[in-house]
Amino acid sequence: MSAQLEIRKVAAGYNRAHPVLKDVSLQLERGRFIGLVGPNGSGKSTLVRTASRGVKPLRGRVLLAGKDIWSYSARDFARRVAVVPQEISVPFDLSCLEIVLLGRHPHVGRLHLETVEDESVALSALDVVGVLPLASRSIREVSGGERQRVTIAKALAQVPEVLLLDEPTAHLDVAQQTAILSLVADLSRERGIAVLAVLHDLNLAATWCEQIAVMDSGRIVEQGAPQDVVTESLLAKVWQARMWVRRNPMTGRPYMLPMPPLFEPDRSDEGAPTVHVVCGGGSGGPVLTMLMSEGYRVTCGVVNIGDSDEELCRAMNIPHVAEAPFSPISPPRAAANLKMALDADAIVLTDFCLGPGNVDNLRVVMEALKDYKRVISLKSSDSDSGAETAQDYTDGQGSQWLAAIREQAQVVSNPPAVLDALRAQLGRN
Amino acid sequence: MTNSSRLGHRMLVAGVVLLVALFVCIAIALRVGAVGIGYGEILREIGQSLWNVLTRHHDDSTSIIFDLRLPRILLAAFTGAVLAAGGAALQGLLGNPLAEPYTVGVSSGCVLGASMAVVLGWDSSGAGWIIPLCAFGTGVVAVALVFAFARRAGRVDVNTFLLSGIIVGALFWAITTFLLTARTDDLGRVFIWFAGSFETPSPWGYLAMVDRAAVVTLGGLYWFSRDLNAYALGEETARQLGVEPERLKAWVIGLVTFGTAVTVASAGVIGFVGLLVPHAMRRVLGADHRMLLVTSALGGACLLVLADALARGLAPPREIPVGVITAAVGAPVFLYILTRGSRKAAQDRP
Repeated sequence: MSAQLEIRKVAAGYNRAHPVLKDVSLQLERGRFIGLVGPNGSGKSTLVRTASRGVKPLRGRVLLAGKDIWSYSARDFARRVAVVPQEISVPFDLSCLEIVLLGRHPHVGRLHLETVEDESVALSALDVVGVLPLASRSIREVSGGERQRVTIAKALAQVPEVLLLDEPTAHLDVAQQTAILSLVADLSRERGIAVLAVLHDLNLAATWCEQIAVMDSGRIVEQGAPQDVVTESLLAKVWQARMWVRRNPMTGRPYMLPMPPLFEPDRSDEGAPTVHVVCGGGSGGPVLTMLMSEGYRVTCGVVNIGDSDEELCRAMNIPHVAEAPFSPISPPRAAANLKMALDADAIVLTDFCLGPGNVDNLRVVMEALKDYKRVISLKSSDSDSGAETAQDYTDGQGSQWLAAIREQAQVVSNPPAVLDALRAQLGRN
Repeated sequence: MTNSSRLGHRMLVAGVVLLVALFVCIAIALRVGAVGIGYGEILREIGQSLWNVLTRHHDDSTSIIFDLRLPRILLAAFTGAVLAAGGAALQGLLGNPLAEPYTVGVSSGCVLGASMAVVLGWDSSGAGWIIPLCAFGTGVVAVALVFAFARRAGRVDVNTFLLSGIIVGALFWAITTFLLTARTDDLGRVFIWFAGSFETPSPWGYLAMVDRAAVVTLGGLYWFSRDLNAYALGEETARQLGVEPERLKAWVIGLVTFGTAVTVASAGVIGFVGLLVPHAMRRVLGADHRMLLVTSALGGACLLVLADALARGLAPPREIPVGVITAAVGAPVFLYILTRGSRKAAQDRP
């Protein structure tokens, strides 16, 4: 299928010597939803303005259905391409329906009033975006999310082939952001509208767009499916940001979490004490993160591959002993774990569910206690309320060992207390 | 009922109501003046003149109603229509309810041209269009200056616009005043432009000029009424809806300046009509410019007809300049809109 909107080798901007867009090519087909992302100042909004005749390209061309957009009359162009800005400001009290009817402007002849047909288009647009009951309310009285829906309805009333959105969710709350983007994705799929949306939030873009185009310094540096584009290396290169990219189990789409600067591997200096963390089942995250941020050298074991604790160890380059997924700890792994534990200056045992697969981790801690290792046992408040047995799937064996360990170890109730205990025991600030 | 037919319906109702109001205003104004004339006499004169027209009888006697009052009232009506519709259009274009020919410097610009024509003796050549032409020329210069000051990076900042309107207005007043100190013998003639008055030796002559200008201005502005609706959402959005903003701005400002120039040439500066009327109409009937331009024109006509009747009737046989009356009513309203508007803006700000 040929592209509905084609941006062909475009350079554009407000200063001929330093164009904002340097050399941009992008194709937008019917029914496609492309998210345009990039750091501030990379040229995303300028690209939208160039594609909507707000800025004339210095070089290159923008084609709509094969014809240069500047060869259309203003009216014809408005019948084919609609734009949704970040926010509209209306100085007068126009009703929501009046705003949406303005979307019919390019379709209604001069000196004519809107026909009943124009009005039914506007009303159904309001209905599609879910704010039909607001039709006669003033645009100045409705909330930001509702106003943005009205703006989208206005764009739909133009019955466009191409819909351009410039950060449509910038001023909305989390729920509204998701609702608006899911609405736009549906519209693109059901009506075959070609959609290009500038989005600030990469997670939203990765969740809702079929394709993501990444802009950096006036160029598109990457384009493709979200799972191919959104990678840690791209984030580091384009945003200079260390982010942790994971996969959303519900959508299969990538999503990223910010990593504070504590994950710099070189921050754990040679003289720092080593702390071995025995964890699993996602219980180790906060402790591991805090220890790393405090500059301890951290080791970890035994964690199963696929467990989030294991993923975290890999993300933070923490030396760790990993076991195959859902498998009991094999003797060599247990031995490796014990060695790490004995090499460390202190051991932290987090609070996790005990089962046949991981109960041997407790045995390692008991061995270490025999060697007079300092052990800090984290006992989270959930397990205070007598729920300990419920977390034990080893017919009491695990609980028995855990109780034995806690008799000799220092028991703390939360991750910051782990740090306090370590400071006291290791004499470190 | 659907919205569009509702709009058509409402425009019809509002139009008829305001037309009736205008006739009432004219009827009231016909009675007001130094010489007391009852409605019986007025009706008789109207019947007489209709009879004269039908029988093609030529009557040389002067009639107070026909030769003095009616043309003057119609002059006031057309002037009010042009100023009020012009104010509505400027407010739409600037997205600000405080804009009108008077506040954005158009009026003062026009006065300079008109005064120049008088002081330099250009009007003595006899062509009636010299004064309005000069008024139009300087009016355009004034607006261009205001726009040049107010434009930052392709956008007209509203506060800067009003401020520069005041500054340019003051500058043009100063130049006009300077011109007049050089030629004090024209002071009397020019003074009516400063204060605004429909007191004129040849009302039919001015009317013949103003009615045509009013038709052109009002028709032209209505032509752009829906573009002005789209423009309310901002220049960028308007363009995305198929409006060509530069063209719209040039036409609307050109038309308003033209209309204002002609009214200034005949009746001087009359402030606040363009502010009061559109504001009231917008509150009552909504912000759709198709409705707003029509009703503002009719409302402006009513207002100036009444104001002129007051000017003549308050202290006969002396006349109060009509600009004094509109300012006396308009200034408090302007202040009210200004303070209310800024309070609302402060609330809107996140």
